[in-house]
Amino acid sequence: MNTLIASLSIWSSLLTAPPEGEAPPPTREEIAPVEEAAPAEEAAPAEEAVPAEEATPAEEAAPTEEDAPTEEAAPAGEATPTEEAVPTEEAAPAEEAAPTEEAAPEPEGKRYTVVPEREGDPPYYSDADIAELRARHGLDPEPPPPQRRALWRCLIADQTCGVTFEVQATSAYALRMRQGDVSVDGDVIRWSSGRAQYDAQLNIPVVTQTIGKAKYTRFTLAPKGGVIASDSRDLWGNFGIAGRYFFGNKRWAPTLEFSTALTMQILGAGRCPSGQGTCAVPTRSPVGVQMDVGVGVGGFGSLVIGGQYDSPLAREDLPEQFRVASSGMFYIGFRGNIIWGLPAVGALTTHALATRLVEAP
Amino acid sequence: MRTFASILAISLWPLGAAAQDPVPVPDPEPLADPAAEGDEQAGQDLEGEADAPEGEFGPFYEGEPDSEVHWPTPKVRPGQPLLGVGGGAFCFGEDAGCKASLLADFDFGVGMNIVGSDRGIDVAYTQWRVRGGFTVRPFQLARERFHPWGVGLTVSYSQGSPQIATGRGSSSDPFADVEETGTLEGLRISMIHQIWLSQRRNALHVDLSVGGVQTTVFDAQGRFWGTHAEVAVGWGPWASFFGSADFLDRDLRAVFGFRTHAMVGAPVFGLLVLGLLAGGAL
Repeated sequence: MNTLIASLSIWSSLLTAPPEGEAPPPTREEIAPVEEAAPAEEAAPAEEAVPAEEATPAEEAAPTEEDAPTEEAAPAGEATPTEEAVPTEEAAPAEEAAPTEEAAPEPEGKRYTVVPEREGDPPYYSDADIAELRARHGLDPEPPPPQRRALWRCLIADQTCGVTFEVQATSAYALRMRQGDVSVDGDVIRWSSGRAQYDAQLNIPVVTQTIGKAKYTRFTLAPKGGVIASDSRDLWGNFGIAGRYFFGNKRWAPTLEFSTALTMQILGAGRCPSGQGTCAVPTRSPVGVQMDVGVGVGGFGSLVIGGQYDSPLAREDLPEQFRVASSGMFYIGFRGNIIWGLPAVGALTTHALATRLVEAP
Repeated sequence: MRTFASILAISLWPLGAAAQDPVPVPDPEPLADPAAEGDEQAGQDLEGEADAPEGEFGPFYEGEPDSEVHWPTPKVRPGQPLLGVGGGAFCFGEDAGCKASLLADFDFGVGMNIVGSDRGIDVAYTQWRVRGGFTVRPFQLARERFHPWGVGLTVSYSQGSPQIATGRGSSSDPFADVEETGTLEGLRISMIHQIWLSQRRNALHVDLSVGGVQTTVFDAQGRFWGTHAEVAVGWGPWASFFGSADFLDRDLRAVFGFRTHAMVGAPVFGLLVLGLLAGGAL
């Protein structure tokens, strides 16, 4: 008996096998369940369904789920043996099926539902949603205030800025000194004067603090250079390294500043090129050094105290008139960013007063 | 009977079909090779034929990922040179993203005047200088992408401290005929090469300048040409440390100094002049 059935099945399969290149007949496994395409509950009335045996060919199939809204889904009876087809056995009982001719009513028109536009941006959380989220993650009910931003586009150094560049002006009282007669022990000439200094300073963050996704500068270190003016048309250049540490992230947080630099006198009082009178002329100078420390607020300004030493040029092979005595100064004053005005005005005034009122001995 | 055969055929068709025409098993998709993709992307970037799609981050980042921490104050003019126009076509201050830049700066330095003859005495030397010029980035112009090399031309004028010249007369006094010359003026014309070490704003760059210098030499009459060479390391247009030398006939002037942009030097110079004027020194 088994042999007979096997032979029959082989012969029947050969007889009913589709021609080459034609799609094979469908099986139950290839028929999509009704839930995936059109649920039976939402499908057309069961009376319009047709039995599976009388399913229409694929060419007459009703629109599939891609091109027909669910509410207007074709009757289950119009299910076709395609992969998107809807089986009819689960859609409607066969005895309630309607004739095929009545199964495909033309839709009267597409219906659209206009959803009012939502406020805000995705994911459209309401205040209540946000509150629930914050509570779920153990955050404070009130969100933190927005991050502070620097004034004047970071022209004044600020913790909320990355690399910055600034120009600083210093106005200070200076106790100047110069070596006197070398044959006399301890012979030093001292006089009170003023010191005006203008420095260009780069600030490169070398230590930062990260809070959330925000980065704050705590310590900057970078090259700086500038000029120093005092009485008697003396003008020095200086270049070196300056650093600033911020004790906090607020705008007016205290700071500790320091700078160290090489110094050299560029201009000094001398005979004018015309041969008449005294002018500021290029002056020979060995290299010196200056350093200072300061305590300030933010990048706005600081009180500084420092000193400067100018090396001598006193070789024996130099005639006496060309020798340079060692000299220097201690100074205390105020240094600040020129953007907000007062430091620049102070330095300018100091320079003018020192030039007008002080004469180097 | 025919119905029975049809049912059997339908039910057993897969077996028969499988026996007659086995379904070919598709070959598994080859796994993507990140390195190969990276090389391909790099090749595309290098060729300049295609850029990465917007929003994708490859071995060559288009932008900062959203997960990156940042300073709360945003950059001024992000994504383009700070002092540039036309998206970096021309900049008034050097920047890694500039195709052509104006050079206008002020510098000063200290060093030595080293004399190789008995015509003068080695002494300390200081000078200040103003410089102007331009640089272009040829490959950045041609390829519309960053390229580290820039080349340009500069002209500068300097004033330096006087030399100490010794006379030619024979005398037993070593200080006889020793005199101080006037202010040492110099005019330099140089070709400058720049190598930008990164693409960031205020990026570090190394500059090499080679050219000629015209200046006086001791007490000789006239101005003479010598060789000028300089190496500088700078941060954008704002600050540079440099070492330079003027090579003249047995007269070498070596200087180590600091340079800043004219946008800084000019107001500082103005403040200094104002101070001298207010102090009655001018």
